[in-house]
Amino acid sequence: MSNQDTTRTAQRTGPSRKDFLIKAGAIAAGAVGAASLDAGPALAAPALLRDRAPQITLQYWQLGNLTPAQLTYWRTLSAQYSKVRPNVKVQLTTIPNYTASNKLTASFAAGVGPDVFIISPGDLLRYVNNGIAQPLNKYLTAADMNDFLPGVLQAMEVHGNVYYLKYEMEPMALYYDKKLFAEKGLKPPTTWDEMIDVALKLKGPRRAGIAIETIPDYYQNFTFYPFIWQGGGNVIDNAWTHAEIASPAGAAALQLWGDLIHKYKVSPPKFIVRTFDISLLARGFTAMQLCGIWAVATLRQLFPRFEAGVVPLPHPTNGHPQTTFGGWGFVASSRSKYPEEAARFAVWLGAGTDKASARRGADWVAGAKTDLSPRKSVTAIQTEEGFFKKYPLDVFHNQIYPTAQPEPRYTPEIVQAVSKAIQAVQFGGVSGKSAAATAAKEINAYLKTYRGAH
Amino acid sequence: MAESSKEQPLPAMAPGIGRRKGFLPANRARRQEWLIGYLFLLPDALGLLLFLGLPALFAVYTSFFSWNGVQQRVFVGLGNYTAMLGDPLFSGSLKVTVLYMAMFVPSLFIVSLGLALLLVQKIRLRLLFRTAFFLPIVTSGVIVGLIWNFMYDPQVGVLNYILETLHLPDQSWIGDAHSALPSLVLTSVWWNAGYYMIIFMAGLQDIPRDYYEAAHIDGANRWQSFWSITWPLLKPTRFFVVVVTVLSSFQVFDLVYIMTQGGPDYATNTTVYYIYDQAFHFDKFGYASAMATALFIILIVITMIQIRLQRSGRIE
Repeated sequence: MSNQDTTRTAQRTGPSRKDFLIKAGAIAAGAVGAASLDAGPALAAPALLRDRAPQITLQYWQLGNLTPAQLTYWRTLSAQYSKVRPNVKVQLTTIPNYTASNKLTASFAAGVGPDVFIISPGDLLRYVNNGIAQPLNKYLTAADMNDFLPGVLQAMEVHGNVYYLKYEMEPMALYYDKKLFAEKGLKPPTTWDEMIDVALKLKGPRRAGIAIETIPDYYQNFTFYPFIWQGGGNVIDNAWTHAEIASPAGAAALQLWGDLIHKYKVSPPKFIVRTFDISLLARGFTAMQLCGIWAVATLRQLFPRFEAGVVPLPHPTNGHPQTTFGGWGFVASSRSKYPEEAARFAVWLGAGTDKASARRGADWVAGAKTDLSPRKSVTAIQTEEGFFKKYPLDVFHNQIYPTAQPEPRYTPEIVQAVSKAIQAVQFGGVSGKSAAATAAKEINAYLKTYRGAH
Repeated sequence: MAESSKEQPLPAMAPGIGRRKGFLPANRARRQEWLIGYLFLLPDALGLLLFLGLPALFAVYTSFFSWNGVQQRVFVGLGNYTAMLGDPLFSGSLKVTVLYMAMFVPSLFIVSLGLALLLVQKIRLRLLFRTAFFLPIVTSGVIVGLIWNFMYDPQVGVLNYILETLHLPDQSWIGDAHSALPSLVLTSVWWNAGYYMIIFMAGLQDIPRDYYEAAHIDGANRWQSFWSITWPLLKPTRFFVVVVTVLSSFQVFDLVYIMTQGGPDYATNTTVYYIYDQAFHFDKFGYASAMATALFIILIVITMIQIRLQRSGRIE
């Protein structure tokens, strides 16, 4: 030891660093030991508490663009569920840009997907084929199944298994500016020819005659399908063996969607917002607009003074009225850490015939939104409460819904082939017949190799 | 000391360069400097490895599988690559990307160099102008896309309003298959020009004033000064701008995603957008990875060609 070190030792008056570390270590060990000695009774006592406290947390994903009332609805329901199943806590997450974003896909790819989430019918096969959607049959009673309106149950099933539970039905219709029509002495159109004629008469420098969707995605296809059906056509046959889009009905529908933009120039190639936003009509950017029932609530809340008329979608002269309905539904993930609890929660949200569950359903379709319900019990409440007496919900209920088919649940490849055909007629200068033939060729090639569900 | 003296008999070595004992420099001070240097690099290198290197390797690995992102991967060998060669949308997306690059790189180069030449002069309010031109680059791509979407709107957009005021016909801008890509390029140039303007200004300010003064005395006009002094001495800056903008034009995504979603009629379906679309809308992660790998190889080849051409002097 050097002299310097000796001096340092001699100068120390307090405990050395070594002493300090030893003592601190002993105190810490003592504290840990004391805690462990106490652990027995400490853990034993809260065992009862643990049974009561939430032990399972279910991740539930909803849309991000909800109104405050809609958000409150889902929050309330998530909180309520803990009373039904005290050991389950529901964590509600709202996802902005739900359909367009990659959040849902990426989360499942990363193994951290939600336990319960919502999909639109167009996405059903995607989640069935990739094994994420789990069958819900064993959690549904016969009464639950029978509660769904005719045709709806089939739309939720794949090979006899129910994979999602629809909680709203949103049919498409033609909205029009009532005041403008009255000023010009025009009647709302019922056929394609009348629609073109009226659109030409109402078109102005800053106003389109009619607003149809131009952005290529599921929504554009969704709004387009009824125009094929109206002429008796379809995209593919029911058995999924071949394409039918190249039929005269398919080609005519495509031709119409191209002509509205290029030949008649009554619909601009692009709108300032998407056409699912009824503000285009309410703000005077268009005289008519293809839109769904959701627009009724938007008009009431945001444009209470605007007078919108609603009629069924116009059809070809030799065709028949036909529309489609979309609407979201619940899916329970098979990848959930608690698949059974996830399924139970999804069923609690989307099915049931007792008063409370019908009330929950009605609070959504007749409270937070203005939609039709896929369930008889909920529709009964809506009827009792006079929901369908108000215009234009009476039109939706009495005239439009009876002609509605569920949104087709095609795979992304078929969706893309149709989407390409629509884009080709709208922007590629291609005729309806040619675009339909190309789409049919692509779909046929795909169907030859497709082995998934339908 | 002893160690240093051992290093002395190295006459051919440049001053300041210590002899390496294996991987590390033998000189203690140099070794410390070397170590500190690498320590500074370490966080970035780790970040690159973790967030770029490993995912890139994983993408290459995934490209040999059919994978929907959820279920088991199925090995398909080169199946995704052969599918890619027969996919008209992929070749179409490459064509769109090359077209975008062909319009974007020269436009951006000319605009940013022009702005830099103007704002390097001692003009009034030049600081204000510099800030104004630089401002767009600090705005997020989403905001830029949304703002220009409004400006391009055929019904209420300000651009059509201006055309109408000038008694010119309305345009569909991003609503037309022919004008959508040039419209995207215009937005992109507006967004990026300020950034490259600053880079050009830095290059311009590095050129000694003496050269211009000498040229002026010799009777050279501005145009001659530009071609004989500015242009050749800006060579490293020009090369940097061209390389970076070529690479960035192959990666264009955000404006496409916000403004056109690849439409109308796939006129703006760039390769990166198509890769995203296949991965996240069609659950084809294997196929998307194969396309991403192909794009990566294309970018490497383009960069190598640029470097070769620059070194050989074929491009200045």
